[in-house]
Amino acid sequence: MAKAIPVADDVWIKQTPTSDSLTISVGGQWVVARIAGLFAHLQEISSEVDRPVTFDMSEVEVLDTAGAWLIYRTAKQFRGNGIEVQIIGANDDQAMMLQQAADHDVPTEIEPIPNYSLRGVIGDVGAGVIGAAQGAVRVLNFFGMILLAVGRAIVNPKRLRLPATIHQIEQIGIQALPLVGLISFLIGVVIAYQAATVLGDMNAEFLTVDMVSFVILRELGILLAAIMIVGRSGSSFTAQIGAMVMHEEVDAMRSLALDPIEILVVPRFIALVILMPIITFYADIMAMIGAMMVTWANLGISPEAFIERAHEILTGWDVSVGIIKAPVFGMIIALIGCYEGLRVSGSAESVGRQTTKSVVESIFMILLLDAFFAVFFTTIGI
Amino acid sequence: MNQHKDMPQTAPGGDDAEIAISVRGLTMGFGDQTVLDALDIDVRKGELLGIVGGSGTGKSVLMRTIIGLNRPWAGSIKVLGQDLGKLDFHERHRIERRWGVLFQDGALFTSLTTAQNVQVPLREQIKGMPQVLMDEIASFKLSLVGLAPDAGSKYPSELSGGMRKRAGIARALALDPEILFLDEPTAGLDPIGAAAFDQLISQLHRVLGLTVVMVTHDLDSLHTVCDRIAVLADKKVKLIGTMDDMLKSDHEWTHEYFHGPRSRAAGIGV
Ligand SMILES: Nc1ncnc2c1ncn2[C@@H]1O[C@H](COP(=O)(O)OP(=O)(O)OP(=O)(O)O)[C@@H](O)[C@H]1O
Ligand SMILES: [Mg+2]
Repeated sequence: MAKAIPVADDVWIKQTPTSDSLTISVGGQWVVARIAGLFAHLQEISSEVDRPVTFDMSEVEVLDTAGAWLIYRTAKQFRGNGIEVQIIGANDDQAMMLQQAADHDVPTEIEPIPNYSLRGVIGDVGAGVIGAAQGAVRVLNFFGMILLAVGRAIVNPKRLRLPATIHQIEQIGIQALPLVGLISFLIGVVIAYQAATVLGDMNAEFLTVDMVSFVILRELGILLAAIMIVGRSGSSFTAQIGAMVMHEEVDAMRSLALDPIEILVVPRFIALVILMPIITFYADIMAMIGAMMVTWANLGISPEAFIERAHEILTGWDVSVGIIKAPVFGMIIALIGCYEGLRVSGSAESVGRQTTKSVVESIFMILLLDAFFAVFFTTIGI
Repeated sequence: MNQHKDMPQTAPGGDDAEIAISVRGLTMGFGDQTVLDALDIDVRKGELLGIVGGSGTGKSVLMRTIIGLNRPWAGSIKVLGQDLGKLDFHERHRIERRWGVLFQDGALFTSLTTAQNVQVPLREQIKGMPQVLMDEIASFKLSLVGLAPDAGSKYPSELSGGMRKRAGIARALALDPEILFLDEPTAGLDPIGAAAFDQLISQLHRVLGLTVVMVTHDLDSLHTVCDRIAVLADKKVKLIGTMDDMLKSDHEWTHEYFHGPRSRAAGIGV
């Protein structure tokens, strides 16, 4: 009473039981593409087997390493259950493959080894705080190294990588202009529109110009510019430098006695410190133009009248407060972008992780510092 | 011997039955630099072909073009009887499963462990493969290429260069391919490791009936395991034949290559 189980149309398993033994004949294509079905059937058989087994492989047409492994591991499983197993009918090549499977039956770790910690939650929180503090110290340390390198470049201009710096200025600045201009313009439109509506309800639309120019010049222009540069340039600093770390390019620089800070970080740092005030000024102007369009169209305030009014109410400080903050924010973006890039380790995943971190941290630091600036400027009365 | 049933036999009989890869008039380059110019090469089924040539002669480019990573400017490439230029998406996919590739620098997925790298083709290409079996096969393949069990759970960045190569081969072998492409498999291995590797490749080749195309500069490999050798020079296959043919050749580069001090050290041509 032999029953043949066709697993697929080109591979089969047949059981021939006698009173004191079971012959499992297998045949056809014992290849990796069929392996999942074969495995399932053999598992089924193995749960019922209760007597010595003979595997007859004489009708196997094609055997690859996966097929050989399956036969070997099934035999092993039977033996583990106390059942005697004999394999017959394998030709020389097949016998060799089975031997290979036996020789290489070495269970391997598959998953990464997790970092177990016995300190528990409290320990983790503590470690988190200490980690954050250490991180802050490392960033400050890195900031110091950058300042030293910038200092060296100022004392000895030959150390300044002028072409690299100019390249960065072009990448960060010139190419950002269309985007920054468009978004600033649109935000100017939105702000002026909202201001005109709210103030109009209170019959105070003549204050629209005052309000939008204060908001744009003191806060909005610089924040817009900074956040867009974080997204455009801070993230790309991290990704570029991170990819270089991953391909051991940074190690190669160090081994050639080149200073990665001087080559990679300083040009980006200088470029951003120079560019941020300019980009901010540009964002201010574009947002003001946007606002001007709205007041002209909705309130009938002509551009000349807009400019005249702005001139009357704005002091020099109103215009410069935003611009004064700009180089500081530029430093933050370059600092964090490059720092997180250099902290990338081996994997592509870590490039992504560090890039996210760099963007989040930069925006957080910028908003935090902006709050400090607001308090500071109010306190000293400008 | 590794003939799957679902393989459409486009040209029954004839030469195609004996030829695994047939390249005709292949022209390929970058920008205005031509790297390969009207190149012809045939790889026979079940042979182990070594490709040699100076640095930058286009060995890697040839390999990448055959497996479809570079689009050729002109010429035809037939693999296992099918013209790669004329395949639709599914046919293309099916043929890609029948070869395995080891890239020059390993090209492991950096965010997966070594063992998980080997499981990628199994998981993606074989439906319903149970995890136990996948773990076992990954272990088997890693051991087959001579990696210690503790290497399985390491990330590629934690492996040595030679270990990455081995892991790359293990991944290339995951689906038991019929053709194996190797780009400098023994570069970066110690001589004992390289010899063991040669033995491994030669054994896989013999036991699995694999067709192997191997770019190599390792004279020992060329000497001990390759059935035939192709010399790439002047944008073409200048010469193809056995080691004896190489030694008899009066092509300048070939002569220098196979009669240089390193060849003598490898016991070739003495
Ligand atoms: N993606 C690419 N873009 C432009 N040029 C390329 C590209 N890949 C290769 N080349 C050029 O093609 C030529 C052949 O390169 P290839 O990598 O095939 O050399 P090779 O023979 O494998 O050398 P090696 O022994 O050093 O690995 C070289 O001149 C190289 O500069
Ligand atoms: Mg190469």
